[in-house]
Amino acid sequence: MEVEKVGSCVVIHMKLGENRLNPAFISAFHDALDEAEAYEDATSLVTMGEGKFYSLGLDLTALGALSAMEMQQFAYDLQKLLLRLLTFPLVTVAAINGHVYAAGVFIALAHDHKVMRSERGWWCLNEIHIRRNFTVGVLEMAKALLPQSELRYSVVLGRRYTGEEARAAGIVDEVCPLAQLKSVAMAAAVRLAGKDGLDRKTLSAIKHDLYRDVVRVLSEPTRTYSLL
Amino acid sequence: MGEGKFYSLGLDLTALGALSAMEMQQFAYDLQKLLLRLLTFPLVTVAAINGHVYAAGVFIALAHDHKVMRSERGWWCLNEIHIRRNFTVGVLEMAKALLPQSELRYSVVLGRRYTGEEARAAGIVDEVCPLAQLKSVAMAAAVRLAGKDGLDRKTLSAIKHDLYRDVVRVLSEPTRTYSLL
Repeated sequence: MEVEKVGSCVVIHMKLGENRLNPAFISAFHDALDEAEAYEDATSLVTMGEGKFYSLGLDLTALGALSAMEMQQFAYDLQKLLLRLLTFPLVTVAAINGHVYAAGVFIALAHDHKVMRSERGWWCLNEIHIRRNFTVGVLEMAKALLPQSELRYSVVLGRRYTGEEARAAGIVDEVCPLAQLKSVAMAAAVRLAGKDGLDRKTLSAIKHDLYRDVVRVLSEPTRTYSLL
Repeated sequence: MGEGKFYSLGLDLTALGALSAMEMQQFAYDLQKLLLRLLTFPLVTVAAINGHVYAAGVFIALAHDHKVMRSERGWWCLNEIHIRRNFTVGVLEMAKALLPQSELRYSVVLGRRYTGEEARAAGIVDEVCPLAQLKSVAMAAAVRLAGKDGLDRKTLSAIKHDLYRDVVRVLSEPTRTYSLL
């Protein structure tokens, strides 16, 4: 994870290949977020992957090696990361440079604004295709943060969207070619934060309260309604 | 409908600052009761937004069945973030029920300012037109939505009451805020 400061904008570059979620990734992400918050003059945050991937979701290989208790801890830590992003005291923009799948989608959804690469890369909640159910926490995120009329295609039926299709469906907010992605994302971040930035305490409180139902379930132990 | 440049700029913070704590609590509750009354009103309701509509004024407008906004001047803005104020539980429920979900992050959280045209494009208001036509467009919409014979008042109020049940419930409770600043 690399943290780059560009004026009032902090860019977190996720450079771990497929950027799959495992305990080390989550820990590194928190460190990067700590670094971003520590810049007193920062008013916005951009997260971006590298190469072909924004994030492909859970690192099932690494997680398969965990004990039951370690897995339970990891699941809870993932929820805490999503919660932290969702209520972050800076304006947050996801610059989706490539494939974004499964749990990676929820990382992106936790941002205020989402820009996706237009000409390559897919957005997909592929849980149905690998016979996995969603936890209560991410289902609440989906319901709060995805267009309601798109839930049946994205969450239930595992539809795969190109950047353009995601934009048309309201799943991401902007698309652009990869060469412009970082600057478009940063321009959006700066525009949304405004000239003087937004008060961090108020921003976090409003996010916390608007998304209260999501915050509540993400703060509780991970659970799934229907076991498979 | 407002007059001149303003539909409503929201709370009169100057006057409210002169109230005692108990008077302020009563006022907050009375504001919720007004929003509740508008939201469940037994007539078809149309907001003719003739100019600036800010903060609590937005929620007055949102409580209407249909919203027409002036196109060429005036802004729509939930500017709470810019004046470091949080939203009460009641108006957050209104926002979630009455604003397009994908627009909540821009309007409620980030305090984006919309022109009439931008508000219409974002689904925040339902129609826009120049000021000169606003009153007649709003009245035409009202008459069209009410239909030839109008809508039964008791049923209209009941359906509003029940469709917006979650909002009605929190607006009927004492005013509170989840996160204190």
